[in-house]
Amino acid sequence: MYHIALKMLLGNRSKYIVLVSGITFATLLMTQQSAIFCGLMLWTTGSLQNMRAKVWVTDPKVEQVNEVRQLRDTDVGRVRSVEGTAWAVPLFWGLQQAKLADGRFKQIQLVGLESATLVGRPYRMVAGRIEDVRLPNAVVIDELAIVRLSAGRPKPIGLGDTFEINDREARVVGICRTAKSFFGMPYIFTTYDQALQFAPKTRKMLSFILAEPAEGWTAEATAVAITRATGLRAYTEKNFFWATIRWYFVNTGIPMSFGITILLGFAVGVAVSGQTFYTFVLENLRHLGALKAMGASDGLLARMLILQAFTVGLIGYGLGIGLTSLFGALGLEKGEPPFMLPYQVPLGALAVVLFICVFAALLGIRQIRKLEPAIVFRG
Amino acid sequence: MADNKNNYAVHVRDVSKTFGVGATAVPALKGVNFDAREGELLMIVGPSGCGKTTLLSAIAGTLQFDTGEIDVFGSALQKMSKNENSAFRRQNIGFIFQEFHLIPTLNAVENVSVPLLINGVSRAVAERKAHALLAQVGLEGRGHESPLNLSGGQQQRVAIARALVHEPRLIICDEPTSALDKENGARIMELLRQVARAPGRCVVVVTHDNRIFHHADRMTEMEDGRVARVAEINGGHSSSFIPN
Amino acid sequence: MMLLTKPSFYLALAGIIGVIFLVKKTSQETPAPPPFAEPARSPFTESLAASGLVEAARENVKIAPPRPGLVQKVFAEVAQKVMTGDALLQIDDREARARIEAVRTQLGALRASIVVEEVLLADALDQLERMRKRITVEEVVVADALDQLERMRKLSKAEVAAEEELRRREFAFAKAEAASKDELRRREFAHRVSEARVAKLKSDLPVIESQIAQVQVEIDLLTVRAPRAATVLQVNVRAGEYANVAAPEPLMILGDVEKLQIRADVDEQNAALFEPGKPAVAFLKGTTQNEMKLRFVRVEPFVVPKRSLTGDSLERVDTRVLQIIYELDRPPLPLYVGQQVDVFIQRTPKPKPSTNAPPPSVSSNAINGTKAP
Repeated sequence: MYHIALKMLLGNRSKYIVLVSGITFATLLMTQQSAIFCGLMLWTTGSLQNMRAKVWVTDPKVEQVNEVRQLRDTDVGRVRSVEGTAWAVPLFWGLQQAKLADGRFKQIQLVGLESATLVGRPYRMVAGRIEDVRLPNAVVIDELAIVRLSAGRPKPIGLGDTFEINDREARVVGICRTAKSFFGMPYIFTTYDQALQFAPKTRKMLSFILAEPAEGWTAEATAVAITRATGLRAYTEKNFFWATIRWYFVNTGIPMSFGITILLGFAVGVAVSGQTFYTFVLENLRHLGALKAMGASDGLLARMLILQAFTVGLIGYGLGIGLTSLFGALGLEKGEPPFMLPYQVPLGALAVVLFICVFAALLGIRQIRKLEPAIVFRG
Repeated sequence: MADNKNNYAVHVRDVSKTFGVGATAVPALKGVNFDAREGELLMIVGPSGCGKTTLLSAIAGTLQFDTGEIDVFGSALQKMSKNENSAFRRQNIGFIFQEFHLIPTLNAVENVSVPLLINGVSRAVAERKAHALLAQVGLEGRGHESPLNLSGGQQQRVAIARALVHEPRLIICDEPTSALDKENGARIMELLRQVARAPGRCVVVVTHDNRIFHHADRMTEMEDGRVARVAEINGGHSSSFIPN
Repeated sequence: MMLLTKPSFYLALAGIIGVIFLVKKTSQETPAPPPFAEPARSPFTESLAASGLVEAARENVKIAPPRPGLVQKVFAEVAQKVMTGDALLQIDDREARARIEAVRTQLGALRASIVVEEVLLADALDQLERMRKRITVEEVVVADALDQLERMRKLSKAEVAAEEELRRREFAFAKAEAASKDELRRREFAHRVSEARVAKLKSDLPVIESQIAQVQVEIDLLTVRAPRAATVLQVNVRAGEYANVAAPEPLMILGDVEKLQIRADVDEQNAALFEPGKPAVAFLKGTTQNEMKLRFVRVEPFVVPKRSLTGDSLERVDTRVLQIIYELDRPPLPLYVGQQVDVFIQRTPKPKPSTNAPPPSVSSNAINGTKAP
């Protein structure tokens, strides 16, 4: 009987297309917006992805990775003195101005890596070698920097080219790949000592301390130990990640605007798909009445409707999520717009779609229960 | 009377049905007494609004009547629960509708196999039987066509095949020829007569198409919610007196 | 299944497969790149970390000139070993040398005049002697005349002529005697004057000689010499430059590089955790190879403002550091004075907080307990 149900559904092509496209659109709207939202949130933690360390030590008042309150140089020694810390190195991070060949200024994110260990260095080098960053005035730029800093040059900036950071000459010795950041500014890597030369002098220059848990210690335990022993604030990479996202969640209107769009997707899904399915049921009511007269039980008819609804739902979901994937794959290739698809998004969308299906099926089932089989004998 | 109840295919006693309540109440059946025998094609005729379709619905078990009793092959419809009623219908009753009620998105075979599928028969078996039935009604080789591509007569034959495929004992036909021309109507009625001849079966036809009256074994004429008279048309069956 | 004939079914399937891949791809976590060089790790379970600077064992000697002047010559080169008293550099001494020449000339002149005076003295003495001899001769002549007179008196008394002659002679004799005596006295005076002049000139000699010695000392001073055997660590001056007494950076730094010491800066907030005498190790900045064992020497009793090791003198940081001196033997690897090192000082484990009161019969539990927030 179930293949009959499917035939009834698929046989009416135009109805089927309307039904499926409603769900497709709703799924696309929900998952794509969610993915962009997640991607945007991920961008806010760009620094955490580009400078990797298990434990980040900050000023006690720092709430997220994009705000910096400088520490004192000797705090590195204090963190090293904490039991459970295998090692700790300083890191400089700050927004600086780069002067382009045509005289324009661009904001950059300058990162100073501890010169011996280069802890926090970019994972993937596209050209050049990261160790060359120890050369005088040497910097490693990311691919975004090529786009941003090439203005006014006959050809894109590359190895050996120079530009100015705060009126000091910087020479490109490498190009690396980085994760995008919320600010949309390129990452420029250099050594800690040179970063202090590039950056304008302030009382304290140390932005973060990156630490590694000792053997047998978890990052959480080490972070707790550092916080307790030094009075500084130690985050595990994961905690810092979520703290940053929470900060943007609470302090910006981003979740609100995306939430509204996602709700809109949900509403469109419920309204369009639910209603279309309901009219589909109404149009088939004569046939359903005939089946009911022929002795098909309400349960059987309800199951048929559920099958139809879920088929529409799953096909529509698959198409919608496929479009989202396509969009995402193209976006990931270019690096823009922000896109991040945690498994919760497709699963959540699936749950919502199934809810829409159940809702639509229930509307139909209510009609079937009310349906008098005797109507087949009338008119 | 109760002793020969079992000889009747359908046994209707004092059945009445009123639609609506209060001032708008319309009595459709006013104590109908009526019998149909095994092996006969019984026609119920009468003018529009006489209650013949309502009676048919009640016999088919698709309409709950207010009072009286209806026995179909010894089963008392008024005593059945809704589910039992459903189960009874799917096993024992074949339906032929005025508008055929074939599902347009299914082909002929699938339409025919539906009653078997409702009864839980596997698809392969059901479709094999459906093919056989279509052959019997003269539509061999056209099983994969959509009903929309078939003529009215052919569609009604498909409907007949569907009504017969699960070998029901009672076939209920509602205006089977009203959508057909005379020739096709005659053919369909001939087919139904043959069906009715099968042992232990009964065909009840509601119609006001006088072109086909001569195909009936007996004819019950209704007027204003009551059976007005019963006439013996063909065959050796004696008419039974039905008290008014 | 008629669903299998529908392209939408396959598209949907493709979409679901696609999303699974995409979820996998985007949730893929790239592992953190390992440190380029292994960072310094403490070998102790509990330690105090400090940053340190390699110094020569005895504090380095900063060489300054005794007085400002042009540097004429630099004798010592960087990394050269010098002995006590070896010349390191020469400040311009031409002026002093000119002065010594002048004094020396004076001395020569003095010596010459002494010779002259001595000649004059000898002459005076000679004249005096001759005068004395003449007086003696005249006395003999007078005595002879007197004798002749006596004898004449005895022969012819009252010979008037002889008497007159005698008187004349006696008068002449007295006159001569008086003249001689006068002459003698004159000679004697001339002799004494001559003697005094010689003596004076001679007494001038040591004055001029001491002047020479003084200028010589000055010349010696302009040659800067090593105060002790050491290695030249740094030379900040070249011949022809002007050396100031209060120059911002010393002309040369000498130090003993055979024995090095490490000055470790401990944050004042950690100063209480430091215990003297605990073993310590040092690593050259940013490495864990070549652990250097340190021996505690002393704690600098004065907590000083932290000197930034970033090399920027403008940096101001509101932190003071406790400086601890450790000595170490020269490790096999090259180690240079002035290098930065990471220092780890062992610390006796703190008594665990009393919150986990039960004795750590299950050690892992105890450790976990202290880590819990």
